[in-house]
Amino acid sequence: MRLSLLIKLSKLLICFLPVFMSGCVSSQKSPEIQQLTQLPRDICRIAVLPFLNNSEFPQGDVIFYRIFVAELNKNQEQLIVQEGDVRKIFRQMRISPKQSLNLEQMLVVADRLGVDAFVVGKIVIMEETKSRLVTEPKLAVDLRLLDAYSGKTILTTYHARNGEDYRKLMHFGLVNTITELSRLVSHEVLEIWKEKGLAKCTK
Amino acid sequence: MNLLKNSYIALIGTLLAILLWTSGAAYAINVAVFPVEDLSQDYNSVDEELRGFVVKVISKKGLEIIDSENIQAFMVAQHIRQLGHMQTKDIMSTRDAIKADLVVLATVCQKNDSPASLGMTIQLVRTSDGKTIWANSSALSQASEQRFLGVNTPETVDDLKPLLAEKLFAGWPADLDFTAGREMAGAQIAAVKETGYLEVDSVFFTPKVVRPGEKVKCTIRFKSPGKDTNTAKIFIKVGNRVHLASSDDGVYYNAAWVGSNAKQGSNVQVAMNSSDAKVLNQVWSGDVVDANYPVSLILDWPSGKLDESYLGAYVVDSRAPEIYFKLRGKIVNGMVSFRKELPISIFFKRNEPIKKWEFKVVNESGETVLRERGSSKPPSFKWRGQNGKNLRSESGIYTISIKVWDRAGNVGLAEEKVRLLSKKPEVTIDLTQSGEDEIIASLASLDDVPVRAWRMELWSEDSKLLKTYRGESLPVKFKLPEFDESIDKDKIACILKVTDDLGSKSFVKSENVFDQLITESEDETETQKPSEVSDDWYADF
Repeated sequence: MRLSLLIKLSKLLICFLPVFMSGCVSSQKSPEIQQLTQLPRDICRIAVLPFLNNSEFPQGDVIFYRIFVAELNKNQEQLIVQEGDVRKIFRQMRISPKQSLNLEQMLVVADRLGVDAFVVGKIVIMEETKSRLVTEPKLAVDLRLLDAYSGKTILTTYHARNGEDYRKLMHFGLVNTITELSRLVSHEVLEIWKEKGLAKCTK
Repeated sequence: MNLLKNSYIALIGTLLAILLWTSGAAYAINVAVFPVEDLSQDYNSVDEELRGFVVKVISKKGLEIIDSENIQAFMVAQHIRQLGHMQTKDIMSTRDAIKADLVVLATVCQKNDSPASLGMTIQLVRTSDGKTIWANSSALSQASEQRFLGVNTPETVDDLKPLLAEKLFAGWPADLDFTAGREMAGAQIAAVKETGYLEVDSVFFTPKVVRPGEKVKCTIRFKSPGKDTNTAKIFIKVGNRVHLASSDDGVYYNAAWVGSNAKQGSNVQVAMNSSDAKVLNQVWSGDVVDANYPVSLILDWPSGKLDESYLGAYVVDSRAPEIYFKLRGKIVNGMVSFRKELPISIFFKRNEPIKKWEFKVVNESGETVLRERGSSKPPSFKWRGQNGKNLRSESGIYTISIKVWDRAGNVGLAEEKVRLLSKKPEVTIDLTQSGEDEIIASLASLDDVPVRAWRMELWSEDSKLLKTYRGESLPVKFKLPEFDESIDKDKIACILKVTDDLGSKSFVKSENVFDQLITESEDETETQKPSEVSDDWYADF
C-alpha cells in the first residue's frame, strides 16, 4: 500500500518536474528588430564597419566586432570584407572609427570595397560584475544592416542579454564571460536576420 | 635467390618511400600564425604565450607552421604595425613572401586570473584570394567548468587552455588540402582566382567646392604597386567626359577640368553630370545647377579590361550666402542709437558652411574704425563703441558691416548705419528769478535722446533733504519753494539723476544750486551748465 503510494507520488513528481525546471529558466526575450526596407535580392559581400563603444568596457567595440565577424564568417553565406581593408579605407578617407559615415562617404566605401551591404552598430552596455567566484556579464547592442548602394537601413536590431538569461538549471547553461555572451548575442541576431531574409549569396 | 628477394624488397621500399615523399610534398600546407592581439591588455598588446598555444594546437593537425621570425620580418617589410587584423593585399602577399597557404589571425578577447577566464576568436584565411574560410570564437571560465565536488576544476588560465582548444578548434575544416594547398591533385583542384589590384592611397579635390566656371583638379596617389600598375592607363571620369590623368613622378596623378570664366551677360560653361554629350561640348546657358558632381577613376589595362571606381564628388555652388543681422538698440530719430553697447546678432537665411568672415565699423569719413576677422560662422557681436586701439570712438554715425565667404568664395554682405552717442546724458539746470521771491528752475537735455525719468533733490548744508522733484520727460520748468530763513541759500546742494531712453544714466551734482541763478533784470541770459558733471554715487535717504 505504502509502496504503491510512493510510486504514485514519484510519478506525479516526474510529471511536474518540467514545470519546476521551467521556473528556473529566465524568460528569453527575442531581439527587437525592425525592417525598414526590402532586403536586396543578393547580398554577397558585406563590410562590417567599426562599432561605436558607448560602454565603459575597454576595447569593447573591438571585442564584439571580432566575435560578430567570426559568427558571420562561420555561416560562409556571404563574403565578409577583411577588417584590415575597412580600417584602411577609413584611414585614407580620414574618417575616425568613432564617427558615423555620411551618405557620400558610404558610397565611396561601398564602391572601393565592392560590397552590397554594411553592418554598423554600437555597444550600448557591456559590463562584467565580478564577485569572488562568479562573473555576471551584461551586454546590449544596437546593430543595423544598411544597403550599400543607397545607404538606407534595411534592418535595425536592438538586443540585450545577461549571462543569467541562459541558465537552464542550477549553474548549467549560465554564461560567465563577456566573450561567450557576445558570441551568443551575435548568433541570435544573425539568426533573426536570416529569418527576415538575409539569404545565402547565389552568385 | 636471396639476392633477388632482397632486391625486390629494396625496390618496393624505395617505391614506397618515393610515394610517401611525393604525397607528403603534394599535401604539405604552410600556415602562418601571426602574433595574437591581446585586447584584455593595452591597445595593440601581443600575447606570445597564447600564440605558442595556437601554434601547438594547429601543428597537431598535420600542418606546417611557418617560423615566427619569417613572419616578423614580413610584418616589418610590409609595415604591418597593428595586430589582430590584416588587409587582403598583405594576406595575399604572404603567399609569395613567406610561402604561406593559410594565415591564422587570433585575438584574446579576455583573460583573467581570478576568477580564471579565457576568451578568444580565431580566423583562418586563404592566401590565394584573401578569403576567410573558417572562423570561431569561444570562452571558458572557472565558474563554467565546475566539477563534481570541485575535483579537477580548472583554477588557472593554463588549466583552461586545453579545454578552450577543444571548443575553439571544433569544426576546424577537414578539407584544407584541396581548398588551400599549393599542390592539388587532378580533379580536386579548387577554382582559385588570383586577382591583381591597384590600390588608391589618397584622393584630393582642389578645390572641393567651386563656383561655376572654375577649375577643379583631382589628385590621386596610388599605393605601391601590383604587377600591372605601370602599364594601366589612368582616367578621371566626370559626368560623361573622360580626362587622362598625368603624372610627373609616377606617384601622384592629376587631372583637371575647366569651365570658361563667365563674364557678365555671357553664357556659363560648367563641368556637369549629364547623359547628353552635347551639353558638355556646347556653351550652355541658363541657370547654373548647384549640385554634387560625382568623379570616378577608370583603369584601362593592357588586357583590355576596364575597371571603374567611384572616387568622390565635388560641389558647384553659385549662390552667395544670404546674411542679415539684428541690432538690439533703440531707434532714435529713425536710426538705431546707443551709448554704452550695441548687441549684434547674425542670421543666415540658408544654412551653409562658411569659410571666413569680416566684421567692420566705418565712420562717416570712410575710415575703418574697427575690423575683426575669423573663420567658420561669425559669432554674435557687442560693439561698445571702441576702435581698434580699444579707445572710445567719438559720437557720430557709423556703418556696421558683416561680410562672409562660403567655401566656393561666394560673398555675402549685410550692413547698417548706427548712431553712437559717446557721452552720458547731459542736462542743464537754469534758475531764473521772476519777481521778488519766485525762482523758476528749468531743466533741459543737451542731446535729442528723450529722457525717460529724472529726479532732482535739494539738500541743505547739514545734509537735510529739503525738496525732491521727479519727472518723465525734459525739458521741464517748475517753481522752487521758499526756503526757511535758517537755511543758508548759498549752500543748498542739488543732485540731479537722469535716465534716458537708451538706458544710460547720469548724475549732476552742484554744491550750490543758486550759483546758477539768473535774475530777469540781468543782461546775462546765457544758460550756464552745472558746475560739474559727476559720476559720484549719492546715497538716497
